[in-house]
Amino acid sequence: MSRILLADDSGTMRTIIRRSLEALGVTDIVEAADGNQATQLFAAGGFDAVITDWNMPGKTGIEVVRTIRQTDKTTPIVMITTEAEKTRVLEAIQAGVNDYLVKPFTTDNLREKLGRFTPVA
Amino acid sequence: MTTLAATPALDSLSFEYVRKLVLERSAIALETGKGYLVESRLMPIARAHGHGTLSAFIESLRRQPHGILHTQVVEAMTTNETSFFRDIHPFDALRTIVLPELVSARSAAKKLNLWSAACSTGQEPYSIAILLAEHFPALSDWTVNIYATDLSQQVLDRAQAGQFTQLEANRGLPAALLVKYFDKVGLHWHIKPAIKRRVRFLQANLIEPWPMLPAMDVIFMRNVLIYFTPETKRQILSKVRGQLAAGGTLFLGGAETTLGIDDAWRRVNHGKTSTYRLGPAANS
Amino acid sequence: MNETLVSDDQMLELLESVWSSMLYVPISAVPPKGDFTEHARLTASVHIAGDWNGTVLLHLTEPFAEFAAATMLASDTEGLTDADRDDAAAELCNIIGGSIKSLLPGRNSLSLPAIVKGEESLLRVPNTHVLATMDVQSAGQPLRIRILARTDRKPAESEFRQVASAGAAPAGNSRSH
Repeated sequence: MSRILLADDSGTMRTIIRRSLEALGVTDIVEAADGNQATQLFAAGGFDAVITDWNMPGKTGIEVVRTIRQTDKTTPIVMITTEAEKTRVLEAIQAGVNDYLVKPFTTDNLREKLGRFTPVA
Repeated sequence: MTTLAATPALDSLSFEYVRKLVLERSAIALETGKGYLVESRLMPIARAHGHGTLSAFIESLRRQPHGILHTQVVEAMTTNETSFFRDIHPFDALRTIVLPELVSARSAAKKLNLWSAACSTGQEPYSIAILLAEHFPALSDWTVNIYATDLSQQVLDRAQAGQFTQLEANRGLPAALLVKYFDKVGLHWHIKPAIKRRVRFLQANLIEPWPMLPAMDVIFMRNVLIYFTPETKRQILSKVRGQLAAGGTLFLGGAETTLGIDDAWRRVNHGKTSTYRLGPAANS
Repeated sequence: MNETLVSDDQMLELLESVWSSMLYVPISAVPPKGDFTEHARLTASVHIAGDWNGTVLLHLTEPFAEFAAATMLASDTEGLTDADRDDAAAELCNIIGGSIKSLLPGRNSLSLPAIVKGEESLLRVPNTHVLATMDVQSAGQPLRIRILARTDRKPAESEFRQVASAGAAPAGNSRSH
């Protein structure tokens, strides 16, 4: 069973993503409400994948990705964000995300993205 | 003012009702764990009929005799939402088994013909073109023709335009491929001309005479036979046999098979997907 | 709307994509009946800064905010808090703002969303003018989206009132382009 770190400053968005993950059979989800909390939680270890927003207080999602990638090159990271420009997608890939999902998204989108890296229903 | 209500998650009884309805009416089995699909496909119908929750809508379906609404539900659940690299496993088989075999078998002629035979808005033939560009750069001096046909000219026009909304781009395209093979123009992602040029779109109805096409090394005919009667399926599969080049491979949809319909085909298993071939098995 | 930056068609398309995937109800570009300010009680905003500067506002009614929150959280309306309604409205505005930002020239960044609510509140955005306004309806409720652009011209601010009673002062003192 996958354990996922979910970072988004919007409680509504965390609930939407959590519900989507639960529908995909992923129930071990640890939530972070800002970027600093996300990197602190990640440092404690034990995550199979990370889902992070871009625009958050404290560290941005890009900074979260860069921080994680300083020590961990392999844990899959999927960014889910409203940032929709091609330059942003490129920036996120360069920072080290494995995939990128633009909001709004459907559970099916998340299943496809996450399914490439971790078992989902 | 309209009464606005919430969308509680789908309960298992409601899911079971929809699963049975779809199975009885379409022979398509919804896997458990696909409750989210029921929700996203049926909520718009539920809302349109004044139901605030999916459970209330399904409860009313349950209480009334089968009619138009039940048909709408079955259609909403079985209509194929196309996506890039749909179901992924057939594309993995194409990349790791089918194409490497063809590349060595056709190395003298340096020519390949592939056909996406129900291409809808173009995601399938473009996925094939992207896969070729990404993983088979050695084919750049080959003649590679990707044909894409569909019943609907309207749909073909969209496919030919090669412009996809963000929601369409979200479906099945890894970000690395999105930025490599598409450009963002306004709200849409446009497939790059170099990929677009590789696909030839033609209108064709599978149950009418087919346009002149070359013998195909690979045919994708996925999720289209399910809509036909067994007799029509048999006729189409027989025509496919005539269209497939020697050593060619047919891909069908996950819920489709030639077994019991046209036994000239041999099913080849590739882990999570199968392909269909003609003639005796190669030495294994 | 200003054709050069965000066309009506683009605006409606981006709204439809948010509505179809998150709220499961249609949205249409039908102007609301009567004075919109009768209904608006809640305004969500995000700022865009960089090569282009301005603000995206989403004005909505309380029933719609409640509906959106309930749908997005898959919750009964009774279980919702004010914070849930505000956060849902903020997130909708954030997603709309992100899509609008992608249509603007140059490199820009999006602020975190904010909420203004209440019957007699006043939202003032200095040094801006209204670039575009779109009125839409969804689930029987009126909504309004505004794009404010930073300006050097007068009037030097956009001002929007949320009012309690019908027939109150029109919202905004700025020119529409």
